[in-house]
Parts: sequence; structure tokens; C-alpha cells
Amino acid sequence: MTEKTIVIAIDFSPSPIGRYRTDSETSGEAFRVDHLAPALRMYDKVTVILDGTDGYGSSFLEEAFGGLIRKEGFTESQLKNKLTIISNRISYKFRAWNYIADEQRRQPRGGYNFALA
Amino acid sequence: MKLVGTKRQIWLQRRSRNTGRLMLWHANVTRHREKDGRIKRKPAFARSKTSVYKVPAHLLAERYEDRSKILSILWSALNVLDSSKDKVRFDFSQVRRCYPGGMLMLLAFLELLVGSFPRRVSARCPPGSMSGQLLNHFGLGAKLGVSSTSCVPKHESVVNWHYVTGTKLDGAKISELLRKYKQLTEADPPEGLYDVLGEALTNVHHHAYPESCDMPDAMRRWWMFSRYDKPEDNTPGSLYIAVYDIGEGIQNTMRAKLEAGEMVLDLGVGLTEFVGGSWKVLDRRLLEKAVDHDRSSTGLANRGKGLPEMRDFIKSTESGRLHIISGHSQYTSNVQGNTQVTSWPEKILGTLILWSIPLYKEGVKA
Repeated sequence: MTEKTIVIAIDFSPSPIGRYRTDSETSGEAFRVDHLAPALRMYDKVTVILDGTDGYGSSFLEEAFGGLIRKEGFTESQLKNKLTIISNRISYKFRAWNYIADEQRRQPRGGYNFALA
Repeated sequence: MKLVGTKRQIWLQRRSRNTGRLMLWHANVTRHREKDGRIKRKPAFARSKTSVYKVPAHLLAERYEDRSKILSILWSALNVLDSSKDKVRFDFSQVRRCYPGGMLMLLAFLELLVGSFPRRVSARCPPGSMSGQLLNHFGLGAKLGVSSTSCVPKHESVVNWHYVTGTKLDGAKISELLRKYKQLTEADPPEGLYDVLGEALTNVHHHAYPESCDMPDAMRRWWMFSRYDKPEDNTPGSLYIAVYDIGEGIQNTMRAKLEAGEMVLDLGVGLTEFVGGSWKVLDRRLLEKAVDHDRSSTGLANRGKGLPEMRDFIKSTESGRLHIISGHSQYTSNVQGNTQVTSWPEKILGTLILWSIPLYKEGVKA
């Protein structure tokens, strides 16, 4: 079984901000497209450590984690099996999973899966 | 103090009298030559004059009475600069108290005026005054002709103000502001502060300056301000943070995608304005929906989370307060969850968001 750990403060940016890449190079979309989604496709288990940064706005978290379902085609159940989110601030972890669940609910027929195809 | 001898005193008095006489003589000669037609004087309409605007005593944005006074002089000055060749001078001699929201609104506007109308905007600040110190502290004093020697920023309540501005979304700028705050106190910044400031700037980037608006890139700007008041043993300190942009305003961006009920209101507003009335109910309703009901200007379900996050952040403090001022309306929320949305005749340019967070000796009480 292959595993990958992503420490956002080190591997991405200590000051993540914004939703789209057009907002900033340290946005939620940039993190999802360049780091999170490729790791989820390549490894069996992915751990994301949120600690060590200045913080995360809801736009960043929603686009990074909710976008996994909306744009990358993962399903909530797949993410529950593959993804672990670690944070000293429970609210970040809670919100990230909440955005995933919200997006899953919005998908027609509970979502589709082409990410792992 | 340097002692001046009697002889030198007499000589100085004589010189000042003579200089005065010389100036008087010169003025008279010029006047007579103009009268005789030997010097051609510019016609009255071609001579530029200086309009002086007295800056109000209380630079406070949260209270409409004070805010409208600031807005009134700013709009008037802009009108003069835009419609004539006259100069304008802002007289700060009456200023008694400067608060972050009011000061930020004024400074942002002044910065734009100075950039748009070079050498036509100046300020008069009494020597050593707080307002002069603040203008120099924020690097605007030199552009406005404020003396850098008589208004050196050294007062504690001046150096505790911090200011960052930019046109791009940059988390490092927020970190810089928080780092300056950390230099003043051992207490950590309130948890979640970076998040809400980031959201405020993200909102500016997404909505304040749409592609369709013809504003130059250099003016598509945001300003962020913070002031730290040190907590004492018995009295809590405070951290004030203000974010300002001069863009479209929250309600204007939401008007692009009105819901059914809002369209009816919009029609009502249009009719009222047509007959000369003023009905700001839609303006107020849209602001309230944006903050309390996750209503986004995009209409997408996954968007519109920034403003509710700001409200929730204030609820997590012990006695904080949030003000969002946009267009004609103002949203105020406190920790008890009491919210008030009001609308006013005078419109603010862009959006101003203000947080006041109580600080205790050991940091913020959550």
C-alpha cells in the first residue's frame, strides 16, 4: 500500500489564500490541481496536514476539498477511504469534510466517478 | 535656548520691518501695473484657486452622522478637482479623534485623489498633530505637503496603527500585518483572523472590480488597516481591523442575478426613484442576504461563504463587533448574534468592513 503525506505549510505555501488560480498562485484550486488530486490518484492513502500555515479561508478550503468532487470526479466514499485530514484546529478539518459532503449532495445521482478510471 | 543680544534684536526688528515694507511696495507696484495694463493678469476664470475642506472632528465610519460628513467633503473635493482646474486643501486642524474605519476611508480616497490629480491636493495639519503624524506614518504626508519634521510619527497611538495596500490577492500581506501586531504584544492574533481577512480580500478580488468596469489596474486596489490598543489590568484593549475597496459594492454585484422577489423590489425602487423618492429596501435586503443567508452574486451554491464566515468569527469572540458598510446600507453584528441592517441616504464608495475585537492581558477570550 502506497502512502503520501502533504504538509501544506512546507509543500505548498505558509500563506494559502483565494479560491482560483486567477486569484493567487497559493489558492485552493492551485493546491487541489497541483498537489491533492494527483496524490489521490497516485497513492492509496493521502494525509493532508493543515497545521503550520497562517490559516485558511472558506474559499480556499471549499475549492480545495469540495472541488475534489465537483471538478476532479471523486466521490465522498472514495475520499473517506483514501484521505486523512489532520489539523490542530478542529474547525478546519470539520469544514473541509463538510464541503466534501455538501458537494456530494449537490451532485446528480450522488456523483459520478471518473477519477480512478 | 540661544540668547540674542540687544543690538542683534534691534537689527532683526528693523530687517523684518523693511522686508514687510518691501513686500508691500512690491504688491502695490504689481497692482498698479495690472491696473495700467502693463502686466496682463489672467482672467478670473483662468486663475486657479484653492478650495479648503475642513476635515470633521471625529473620523468615524461606523456612525452615519460622522461618516456622512467625511463622505460629503470627499465627494465635494472630487467634484471640484474633476470639473475645474482648482486645487483642494484638506484642513485637519479640527480633527480630534481618528478611528480606523473613518481614517481608512479618508486615506484611501486621498491616495486616489493625489494619484489622479497630481500637485492639486494638499493637506494642512497643525504641527505635532495626530492627523499629521498619521499621514506621515502611512507615507501620504509628503504627497500632501505635510511637514515631515513637525509631524514626526512617534505617538504611541500612531505607531500602533498599521496599513497595507495592494492590487493583488496576497496572503503574505495579511501575514505582514499580523506580524506587526505580534511585535506589539505577546498575545497571539485571534484565532481565525487570517481566515476572515483572506476572505475579505478574496471577495474584493472576485467581485469589487469586475472586468466590465473601466477602472485602471492601479486603482483596483484594496486597503487594510489595523490599530492595536494595549490591554491594561482593569480595562480590555482592542484590535481594530478595517478592509476597504472602492469597487462596485456588494449589492451592485448581486443585482446581476436577482431572485424573483428581489426583482419585484427592484421594480419598486425604480418607480420610487422615478417619482423623486428614495427607497433603499432592496439595497438593505441584498446586504442582509449576503451576510446571513450565504446568498452569492454568482448564484452558485458553493460560493458566498466569506461574509457569513466574518459574522461567525465575531460571534466566537467575547464582545467583538462587525460592521459591513456597502452602498447605502450598513450591517452591524455583535457576539450576542444581534444584527442590525440599516440604510442611509449618503452612499459609500465601495465596501468597508470593520472588526473590533476585545483583547485581554492573556489574549483574546474565546
